[in-house]
Amino acid sequence: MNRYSILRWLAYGLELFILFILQETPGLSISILGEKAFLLLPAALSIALFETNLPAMSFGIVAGVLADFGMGHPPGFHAILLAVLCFFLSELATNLIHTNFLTGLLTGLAGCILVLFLQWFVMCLMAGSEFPEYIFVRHYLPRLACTAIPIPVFYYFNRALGLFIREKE
Amino acid sequence: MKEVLHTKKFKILLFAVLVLFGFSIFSGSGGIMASALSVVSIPTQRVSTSVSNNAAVAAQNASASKEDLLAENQQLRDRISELETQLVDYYDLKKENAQLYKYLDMKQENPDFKPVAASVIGRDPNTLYCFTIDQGTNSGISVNDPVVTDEGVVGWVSAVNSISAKVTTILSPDTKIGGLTESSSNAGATDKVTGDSGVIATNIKLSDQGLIKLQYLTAETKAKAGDIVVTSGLGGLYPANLKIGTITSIEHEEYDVSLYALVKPFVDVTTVRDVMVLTEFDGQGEILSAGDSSGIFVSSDSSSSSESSGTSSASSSEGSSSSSNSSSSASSNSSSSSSSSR
Repeated sequence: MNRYSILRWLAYGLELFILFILQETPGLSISILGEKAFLLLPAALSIALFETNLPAMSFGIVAGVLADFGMGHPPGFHAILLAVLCFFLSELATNLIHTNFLTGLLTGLAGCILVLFLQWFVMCLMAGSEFPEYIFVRHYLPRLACTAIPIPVFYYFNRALGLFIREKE
Repeated sequence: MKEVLHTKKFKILLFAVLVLFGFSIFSGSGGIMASALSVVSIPTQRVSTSVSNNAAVAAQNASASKEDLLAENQQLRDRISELETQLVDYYDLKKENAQLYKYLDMKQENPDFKPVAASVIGRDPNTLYCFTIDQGTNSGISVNDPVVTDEGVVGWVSAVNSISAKVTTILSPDTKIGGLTESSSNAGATDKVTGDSGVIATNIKLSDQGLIKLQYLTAETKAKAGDIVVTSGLGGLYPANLKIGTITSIEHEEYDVSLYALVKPFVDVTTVRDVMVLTEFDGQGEILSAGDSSGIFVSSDSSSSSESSGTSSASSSEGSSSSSNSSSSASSNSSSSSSSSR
């Protein structure tokens, strides 16, 4: 751990906090059919592409805790989900795939689909809500769409943070 | 990839997952972590919401003509020079005064109310028809406290920590105002014109249209479009005679012969900015039957009064507090907190 790493992690932390404020504040984030973007999700996934697995897991936890706090829940569902997802995404990016815009886009999209689907499955279908299929189509699909829109922005932004705030070799 | 599962880092991940799992089970929504996070995030959210609201107002003014804008600009410059001589906290007091003035009539009509003014500072993208306000347990707010505006009922407090609270609105499918016992209709909501009583609830399809429904109307109901629906105060969660909305139509239930009324709420919960939380009122937590001699339940419908007057103490509850419960089934306000999230 060196000062560049600490600086980079502080930048990631600040980014996640600002995104949390943006997604919570009425009228400030992207909205499709009344559904707002879940900005913490693509941000945490893109951070995982440029960090090793433990820091990626940690930022997944931070993003998940903020998401659970915003929903009024104790930290749990999103914190665990994003911790595991970011850990394995980081492993994937380090050992298996070449990180570029296309892979960043695909992994971000896949992660968003997985998290939102699980969110619907656990909090809607398993909770016994009325008309779960209607909720999925009318609420979750628009939410997925506006969550996926800023993936390229987060990819390039976190790529810049990950590459430029790093000890020169 | 399989080697990853045997590494120390993977074991750290498993440990972190176990800790988070234990945290989620054993801590409540008002735990230490939530309070600590709220200390940092709530003031920031207040500022960002204020900026966002002002930007929305400024955008509306952008469509005015040039002459109008120039004249308004000069007027505003003169006004600014006046205001600079005012006290530093003048704007805060003015805003608070304007907000509280709206509730003055309500307070004069209901001196037993102990209201706490609050502002909407957050609407989470992962929840439907819920929002966060900037007051919490430090201001005396607790779970199940009703949330209102001068126009009518907004919802109820579903989670609270030290300086913020989550409000579930009446458009949420998790909200049910009033309850129903096996032996009587213990209404939580009343048609003010005819005295017909029922239970306010909704489903997601109606919520998306901005409607709720007054269920369990009798076959002899005289309720009609245009009637005003108010709380009956029987469940002990909402005080009596708080406005809810206006009936738009009377319909038959899909799977049985009972009737329900579609109600358009007075308050647009998707855009409301300032609310009032009633932390205390007469009858809070007291569950009464429809025929209770205390007179809280007001009905001009003699058949429904006689039907419910013979019941024992009602067990239905709009919240968790009830001193005497029968074995009757009841629908309550809050299901588990996870089901309020979408």
